[in-house]
Amino acid sequence: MFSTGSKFFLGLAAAATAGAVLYGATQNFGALGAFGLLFSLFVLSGLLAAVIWSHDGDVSAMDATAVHYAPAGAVPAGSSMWPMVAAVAATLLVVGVVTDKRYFVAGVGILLVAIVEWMVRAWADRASGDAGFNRRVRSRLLHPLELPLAGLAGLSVIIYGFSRVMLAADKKAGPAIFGVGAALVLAFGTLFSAKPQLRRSLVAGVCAFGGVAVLAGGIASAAHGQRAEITDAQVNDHFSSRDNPRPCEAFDQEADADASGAVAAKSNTIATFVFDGTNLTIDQIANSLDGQPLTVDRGNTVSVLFRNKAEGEYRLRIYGGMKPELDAAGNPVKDPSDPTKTITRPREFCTRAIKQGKTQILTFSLPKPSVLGTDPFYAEVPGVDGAKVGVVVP
Amino acid sequence: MITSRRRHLRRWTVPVAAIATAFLAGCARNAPQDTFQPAGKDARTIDNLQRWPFYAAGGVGVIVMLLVIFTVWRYRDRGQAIPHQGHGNPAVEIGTIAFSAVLLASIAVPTVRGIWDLAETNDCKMTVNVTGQQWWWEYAYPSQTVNSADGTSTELKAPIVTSGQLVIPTGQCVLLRITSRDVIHSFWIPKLNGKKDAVPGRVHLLRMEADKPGMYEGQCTEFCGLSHANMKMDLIALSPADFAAWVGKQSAYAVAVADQTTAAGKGEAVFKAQCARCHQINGLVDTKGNPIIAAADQNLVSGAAPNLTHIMSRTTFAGATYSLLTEECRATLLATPSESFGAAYLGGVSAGCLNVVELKEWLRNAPEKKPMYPKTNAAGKGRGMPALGLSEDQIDQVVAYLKTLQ
Repeated sequence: MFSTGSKFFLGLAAAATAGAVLYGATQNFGALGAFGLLFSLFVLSGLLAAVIWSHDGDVSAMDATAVHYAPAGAVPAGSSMWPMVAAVAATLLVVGVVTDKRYFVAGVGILLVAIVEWMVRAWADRASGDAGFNRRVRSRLLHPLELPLAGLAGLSVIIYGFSRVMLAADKKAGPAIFGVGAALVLAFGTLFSAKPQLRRSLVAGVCAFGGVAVLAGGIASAAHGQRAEITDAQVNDHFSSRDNPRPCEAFDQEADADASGAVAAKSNTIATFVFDGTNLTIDQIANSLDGQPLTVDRGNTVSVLFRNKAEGEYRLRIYGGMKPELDAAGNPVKDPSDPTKTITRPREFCTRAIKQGKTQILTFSLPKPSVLGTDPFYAEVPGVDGAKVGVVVP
Repeated sequence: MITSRRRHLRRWTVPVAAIATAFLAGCARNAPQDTFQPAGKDARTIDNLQRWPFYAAGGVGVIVMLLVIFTVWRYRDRGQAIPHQGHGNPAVEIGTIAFSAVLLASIAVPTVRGIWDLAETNDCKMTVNVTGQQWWWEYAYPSQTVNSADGTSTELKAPIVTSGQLVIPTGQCVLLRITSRDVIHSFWIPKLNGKKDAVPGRVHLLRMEADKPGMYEGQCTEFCGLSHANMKMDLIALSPADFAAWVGKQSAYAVAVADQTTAAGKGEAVFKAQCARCHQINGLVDTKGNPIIAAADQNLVSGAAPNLTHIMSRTTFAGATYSLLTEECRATLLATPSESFGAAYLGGVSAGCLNVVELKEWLRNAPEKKPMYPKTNAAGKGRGMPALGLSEDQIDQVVAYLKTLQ
């Protein structure tokens, strides 16, 4: 009664049942996962019934006398590597569960590919009694998937390898490497298109050599590490105060969380504060504002740069008035000594202390106007008298 | 014979009418947002760029269409033998490619130059911060000294904040620093320059220059939510002298109503209790004499509501959606010659010209006049002005108070 295909689906249905029971018992029978597994059981049961009813879609396979000539009984043309790949993927998946999410994702991806390839290959090997036809059928079905994916994978490897080379190469050598690489691609591309009679093996060989060269260069560059200024910038975090200890309170602005390394923020600052050891000056992006205090519209999230030209380590602090201290529920905390008053604390934003010649970005937002109050806002370099610039929130 | 002619006429009536309608739809006596009527240097740069490609592309399009029609008609299937099928003609191919290249180059060169010209900011003598939010625009003028080309010098000792109407001096470049407090918007005054997106966390620069005094209308051009279509903007261009006068008026704080028993005085009390939660009026103080600072950051997603210190000095409200002037007075203002426009605008909204009906409707139920999301979210913040539940007496009192904010 049970054909080869039906045994497969019977096994999967049994696994889904066991999984649903296990999941439901350990988690919750009403959980989404249990429903998913039960739905799988439902679908697999349907498929099981279908393949039993159709005898694996091959009536002749049920004929004992025809087994030796029926396609379903044919011996596959060659060995398949996909079981092995699936095993590796499953291992990767399990390793990923306990170590790193990336391994898990890679395992899932490779397992999916292996399952699809394996299933189609198993089907195509017995699609007919003609091995050549079977190969063509397989190619016709899988090439539209395989070729773009292989191209994407190849391209990813090249991009990743080349980016490692560019990150490791000296800043001045970078343009030369990029230019030579682009020129070589253009030259060979032109040659191949102008000489279509060239042997395919030669073209494939040149392309493979180029790909291997980029990959090898990428591996060597990754092993060597990024060039000094990038490493230094990452270690010292010149561009953001995120994740660094600060004397100021932790930022509560959402934009700050993404300021680190954000090219968009760095390319879109409204002003640059420069500290020369004595004075703090401000360069705004509008000429008409030279010499004026920094004007920040209330509630707007803005970014500024702080550049330290003085010896020693200094930081920029922006003071935006006082604000009520809030408890965990978001309510103002009453002053224990005078319950009619609430405890207030400075609304302040700081960069981390940076060395001479370094620059750091600071993203902040000031929700209250300053012009009406008696408590002026300002930007300062803490610890240096006179290094102060006004900040106005209209 | 007559029947046949009538049938012939009828057959052509519908397509001719459709084409005529399409053409006539492009005609308008009053077209305040017409890009083909530039009123400033930057808009002219764009106009010069778009006219030549428009004519060139239009000409090419007409020629191609005529050729297609001619070919389809001339070589339609009449049972004739299939003509000789040629393949490729280097002379024609190279010729058409060369012609196209020259045509594109003649467009590209001035376009690139125009892009650079429009990106230039060093010649701008004044800066205004423009902030978009659902669904209105705020204009903040940082402290600065504006030296106009005619020798007039205007000093903004303290920042000015206004909304709905951006006021600039004529004859000089004003640099707008555009950003947003919530979602992406786009600032566009068609007669003066192109569009510029307002993106939260980013500051985009846009030049603005008007030749003559007058009112230039605009519209948010990036879909930004429920009331995007109502997110309008006006640019008011004043002569440098009139601009200096406007700055003087805007720099002053509002004065408290002397007699609290009057309708205006009672309206001030209602404003303090209700409206001041979000709307700032510079000069408004509490019973202890401390300045009242609006807490829009605690009540609105955008964190700001229009500053109403000088609401009666502008001619629109509700994010420039509605006119503060009656229809007649607005038409009179728009028809005022540019030489006397400044004086007319600086006169503000007189008692006789105030659009009381719509202002009261707005105060009665703002979301009904302009679709908004005033219901508060989990953080207790809404988008737009809610219905405040004011009584008719309170509405009259608030209107009386707002009239004092000249």
